[in-house]
Amino acid sequence: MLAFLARRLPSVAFMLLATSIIAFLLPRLAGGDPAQTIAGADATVDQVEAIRQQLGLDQPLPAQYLDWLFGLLRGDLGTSLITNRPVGQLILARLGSTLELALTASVLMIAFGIGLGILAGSVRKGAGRFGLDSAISVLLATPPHVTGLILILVFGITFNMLPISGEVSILRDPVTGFSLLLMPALALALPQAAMIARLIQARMMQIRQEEFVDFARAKGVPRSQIVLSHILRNSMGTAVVATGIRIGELLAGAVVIEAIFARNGLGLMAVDAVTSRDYQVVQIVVLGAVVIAVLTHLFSEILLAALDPRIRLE
Amino acid sequence: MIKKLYQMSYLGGNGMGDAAVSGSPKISRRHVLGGTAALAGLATFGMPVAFAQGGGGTLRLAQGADAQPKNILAGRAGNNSWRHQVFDALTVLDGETGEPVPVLATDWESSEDGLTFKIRIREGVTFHSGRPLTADDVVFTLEQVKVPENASQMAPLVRAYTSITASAPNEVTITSETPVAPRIFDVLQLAVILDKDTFAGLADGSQVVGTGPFKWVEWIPGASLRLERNEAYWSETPVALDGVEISIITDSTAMANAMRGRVDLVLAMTPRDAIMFRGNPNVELIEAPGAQIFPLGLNVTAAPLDSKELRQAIGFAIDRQRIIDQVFNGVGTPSCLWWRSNEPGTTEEMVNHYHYDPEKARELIARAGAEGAEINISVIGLAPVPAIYEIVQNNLREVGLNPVGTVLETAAFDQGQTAGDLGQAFQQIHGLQGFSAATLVDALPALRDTNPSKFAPERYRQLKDALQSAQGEAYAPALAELGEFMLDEAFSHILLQTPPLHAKTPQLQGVVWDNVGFLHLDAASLNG
Repeated sequence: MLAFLARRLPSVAFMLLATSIIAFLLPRLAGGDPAQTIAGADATVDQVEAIRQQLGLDQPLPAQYLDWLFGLLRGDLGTSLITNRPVGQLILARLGSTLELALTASVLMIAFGIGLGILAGSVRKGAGRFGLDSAISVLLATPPHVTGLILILVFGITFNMLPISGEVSILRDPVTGFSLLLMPALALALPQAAMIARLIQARMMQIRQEEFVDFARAKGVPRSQIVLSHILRNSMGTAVVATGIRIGELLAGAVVIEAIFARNGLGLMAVDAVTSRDYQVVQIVVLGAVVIAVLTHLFSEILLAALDPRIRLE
Repeated sequence: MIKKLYQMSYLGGNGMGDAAVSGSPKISRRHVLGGTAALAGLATFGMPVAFAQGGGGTLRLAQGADAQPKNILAGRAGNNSWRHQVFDALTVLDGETGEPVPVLATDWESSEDGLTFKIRIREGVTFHSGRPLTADDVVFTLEQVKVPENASQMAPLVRAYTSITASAPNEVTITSETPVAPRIFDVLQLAVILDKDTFAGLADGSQVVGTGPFKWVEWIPGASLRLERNEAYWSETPVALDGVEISIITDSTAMANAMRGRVDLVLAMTPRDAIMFRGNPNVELIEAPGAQIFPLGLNVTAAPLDSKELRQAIGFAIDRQRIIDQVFNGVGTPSCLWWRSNEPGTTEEMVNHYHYDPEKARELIARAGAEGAEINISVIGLAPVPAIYEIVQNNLREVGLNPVGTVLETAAFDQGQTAGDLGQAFQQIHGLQGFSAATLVDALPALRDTNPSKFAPERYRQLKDALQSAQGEAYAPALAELGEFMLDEAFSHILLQTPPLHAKTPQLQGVVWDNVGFLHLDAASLNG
């Protein structure tokens, strides 16, 4: 595995360098600038220009880029142009919220996805099959923000069972923290869980037709063992890869969900940074997202190799 | 009318509302000193009531914009809730009359020619750091207003002063080549007094030190702000609240939903979200001062808008009441003016100068020979302006024009606005309502000399100068003359004024908004 990782290192480094250039240029291509945001809508030309100079935005772009890049190599993530706080500090202040949401949503996504997938792949006829197929289709077709609003309406407003706004760290107050986390995590997890369930269902139905399953059946292997050891294990590879990808999408969905449930996570911070043209924050968020995606992908490949003996890390 | 459901809470006559319920009346130093202006202060801030120090609970408040301590000298929505909790101004403008009320100033005097202005500063006031307030802090603050990096809308006014000096330990003297008052009170309202020793800490919010009733404790950018009571506050009226917790919630509906048990006060709710709370006995909706105005700017150098008849026709073509009803759920005033109607010199005719009259609009368009003319409109992509554009577009089509709208992202629009370059026509959004018209004509992008309408005739500058030099009774006719000229030239049509809509629980009492919509919580409590 180490050799595999070592072989991947140059391409990962190249990808990160390319991403850093894109992350640097992207917000600057969007029009507007942070000096304007700080100066305000009523600002005069001299006020905007003075702030631009103060922020160093009057320097040539290559000089700004290299300054940022060398800072990164020294472990300095930069300073927010809008709040003047270190970007690392801003991210740390929001990381806990996003981690809580992402971890809870991931657990729910995997649990619901695998559970629903196995059920849907095992029940092959009748009302059960129709019900499961319908449920998965509805969940698939409903985006997280709609799911979130429905949950708010039903559990937050109509039945008043769960709080609809705010956050408390689970570590500080587990009960309140979890009650505030449940609806946003569910809203985020359910559409992705449906996707995983559909993949597992399809793969299970496909593998059920394979010759080795007929062979096991002919040998008199019990039905439950066939499902667990032969069909399910061979179906999980797809789900593992899909789960890796879904976690990335889940983080993307967190932007909207954080807004709806008034949670102060990284997603919302990223949106605010884009709106206010806080280049330093946007750059780190984009770069960080790519690093997470690369790591998730590598982890999925390693896990897939462990699950499927036909796959080797090369 | 939705309005009838609202509890008007800028509280003309009794700023305390029904908070004035218990304890023996006790007048604070804030309200006693300052001569006639103090009487105006009493009118707005009300007869203060002696709450026991503390025990008033912690006020939980939600707002959409983040705090910007770095821009404390500029008007910023995110600072309105805490500006006058952490800092004090020398004077604030009364929410009802617009008159200055003394706070850190005890009194002031203007020379006969108006070119010298003296302010005496309250003694015995200390910053949260424990250091006494001096006249040097006031001079330092006013000097900072001039600094372009601080982005104050009052910078042009203060730059026009020839000197700002500490003429005595508790007295500041300002001299100018044009009369200092009354516009000085706009400067003093916005320029809260800063601690010169910790000024650098404002840049990242690490040290935000004022003399106000609450101390700045913790700010998590984009998420929350926590204040706690200043036990050494100079006022004789005790501060009831133990602290203030401000949550930043950027999604407007999520912010409104915070009213369902998470917070006691939501600031600047959209009328659409406010509908959820109509008839709810646990929520009081409040229209406060500090309105927004929505100008439709017309570039007078770009054909066919170089025709005054066509520009006037556009003013008559727009159905302002429809915008108020459909976009703002009935909350707003179809005013044609760029300033609050409580300004001296403002008449009913000016407020309603352009009323919906499509026939007259068609007639004027025909006279201008502009039937079927294409009008390109840049629209700021900030809600609800694109929704207003839909109605404007419809109205202009009805009178035979051909509007073509382009919605621009806020950052890009602001850049064009600063550069004075927004194309043929443009829909803006402006705040700063509550400052005097004399200040607004140079502070609002739609009206200043480098306005994107490219409207800068000599007479416009002369009338502005006349208004800005006018003192006492000369102010009203000067404003009337300027206002009528601006309306006639029709380079910037105000479509409507909308007040900020706040929501609070009935338990929260004693909240006051001044003339520009800044919140004051020194008399607030949660014991109602």
